[in-house]
Amino acid sequence: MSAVKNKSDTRVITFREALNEALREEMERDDRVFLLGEDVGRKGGIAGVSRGLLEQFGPGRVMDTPIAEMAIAGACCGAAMSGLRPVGEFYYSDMLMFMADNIVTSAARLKLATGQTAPYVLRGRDGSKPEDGGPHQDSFAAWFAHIPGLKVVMPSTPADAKGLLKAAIRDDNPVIFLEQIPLYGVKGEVPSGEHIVPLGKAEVKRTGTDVTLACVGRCVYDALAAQERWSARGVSVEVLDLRSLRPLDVEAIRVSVSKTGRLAVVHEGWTTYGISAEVIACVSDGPELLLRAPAQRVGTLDTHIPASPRLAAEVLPNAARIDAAIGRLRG
Amino acid sequence: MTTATAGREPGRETLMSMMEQLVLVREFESRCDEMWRAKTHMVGEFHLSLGQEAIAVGVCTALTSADLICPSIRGMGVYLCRGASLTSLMTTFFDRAGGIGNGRWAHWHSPVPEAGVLAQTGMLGSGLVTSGGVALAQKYLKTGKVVVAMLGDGATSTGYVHEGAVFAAYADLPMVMVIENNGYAVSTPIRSVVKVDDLSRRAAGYGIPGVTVDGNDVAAVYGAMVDAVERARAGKGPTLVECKTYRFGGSTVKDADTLRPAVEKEAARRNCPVRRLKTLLVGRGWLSDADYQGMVDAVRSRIAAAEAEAVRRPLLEAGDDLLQEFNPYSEGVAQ
Repeated sequence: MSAVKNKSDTRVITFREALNEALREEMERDDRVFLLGEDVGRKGGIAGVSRGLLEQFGPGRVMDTPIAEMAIAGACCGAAMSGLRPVGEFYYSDMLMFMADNIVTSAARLKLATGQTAPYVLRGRDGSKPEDGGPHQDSFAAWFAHIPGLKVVMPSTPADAKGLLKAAIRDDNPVIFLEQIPLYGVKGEVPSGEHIVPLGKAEVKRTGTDVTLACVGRCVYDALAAQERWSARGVSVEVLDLRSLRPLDVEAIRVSVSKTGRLAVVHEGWTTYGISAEVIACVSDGPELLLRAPAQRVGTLDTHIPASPRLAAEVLPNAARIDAAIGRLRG
Repeated sequence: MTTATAGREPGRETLMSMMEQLVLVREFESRCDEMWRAKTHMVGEFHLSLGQEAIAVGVCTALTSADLICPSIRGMGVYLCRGASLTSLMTTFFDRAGGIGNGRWAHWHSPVPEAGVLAQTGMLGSGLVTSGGVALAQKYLKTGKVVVAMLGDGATSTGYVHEGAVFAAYADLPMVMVIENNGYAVSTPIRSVVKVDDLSRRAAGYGIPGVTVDGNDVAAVYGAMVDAVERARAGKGPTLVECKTYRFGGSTVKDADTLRPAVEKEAARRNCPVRRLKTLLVGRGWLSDADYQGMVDAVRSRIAAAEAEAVRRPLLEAGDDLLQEFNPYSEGVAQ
């Protein structure tokens, strides 16, 4: 039976270890793949994702760079234009703001000028840190999902972390790969060896009939918790993990909402002009009318995340605001 | 190590004041480290400056109280030397209401307007370009104030620092750029990513003076700063002052610090900036061991009082109207 075979081929490892495995396997498979970033080598990455890779592959393929994000982004673009498959690391996703010009103006639009793309991955920590706050808690997924020519990925489970990172490295386009900070220690079953999760495919984590919770990253766990709370109250919630934000799995979103007629979108990042606006547009653009109740957005409130953990918890998406949204959908 | 200018020799009164400030920074940060490790009250990220205290002390002593300063991410010494309230700092470290930044801004980086400390962020190098704008306004408004922007060695690799230095030189800004070179950007040795021994050599490329001093010699830091501040105030433009030092602990309290060689760390402890000034003052007969212990005891009492006051304050709580409470906009319109 395939289930037995799959069982023997998986182990329980952390999200961090799954990412490490993806990098190691892709570097073993393809010597064009190399890593660069601040502290990726000796320290093994600020989140420990590249531990052991300097020792295995040497400093020519695991480069500890100066603190120079613009140069890291440019080096990824230029090396990718020249036939390599760079994987750059940023410390926090607010550092993507330093890199943004090169990503948008040089990499994402390259094909129009040259007929070629820049196949690279920029990956790093994104979103809220439970223990402390400030600008390093911001999530910039929507900024980059806005850009034609980029792909934007945000895994929620260890298996998806591995499968999506391997797919991102093999993809012929620049990919922004966002690793939400609370997830690094999450454990789960991960297939050994070749395991690819295609970019642009959402996954139904729980099937339900009354409400669709479309979510991404660490908010998947908040949605799963909400599904259990509301199940006890007789409300059947479908949890859809978007996994990729660009390309967005419009088909999966429409299939789910065709069934439930009710949609709430849960994500980090500011609400206005955010991920939820695009997801809701997928079901409101037609041709058929799918929504039977006004769609709900649960993102970061439209202000800057306070540094205080106690205050930040109020401004970030949380259980109380998810419950309020589901309550409004049930009207 | 080169010293391009002789600087000014601080007198007895200045040296004694700097001794007190060194003790304040050393004791305050040591206490923060102790409390963070004991998990009492503390929230957030702490970039301690233990081992590097002479830079903040020397820099701040060379300024007037009206001058403005943007610290580096390792800048608690600046807050303390500029007279920020210990109670206000501890209140925010304890996630309680009414302290520095009031929980809105990362506490180690919060602005303190009454102390002339500018806001900074974790975006390395950003403080230099913002400080350039503040310096431009001082020149425009003819306030006579000087602006100091402080950076770690790691931050000097950013694009911000190049543009900030180009702009400051171009506009002859009343500004001093101070590099706290502790030799490491988290785990990465500066010598492994930079091909110059002294970062101050880069000043030549911007056409401004650059000087490297022993950052553990508070008198040397002070002397270089007096020259640079005088030049800035006279309208002659910015100076780059590099202070070489070494941090005793990890990059933050969360950094296990396993990659820096033990021999380096031991050498840094022997080169302690606090002990160096103490030895000098004792040698001159200006300070006794009892006097020194008196300074330590006085500071510890102040810290204990601040903690006791801070824990009595209420925990930070958000109200019901979050968007009103954290509204990032002003309703004001210029007339």
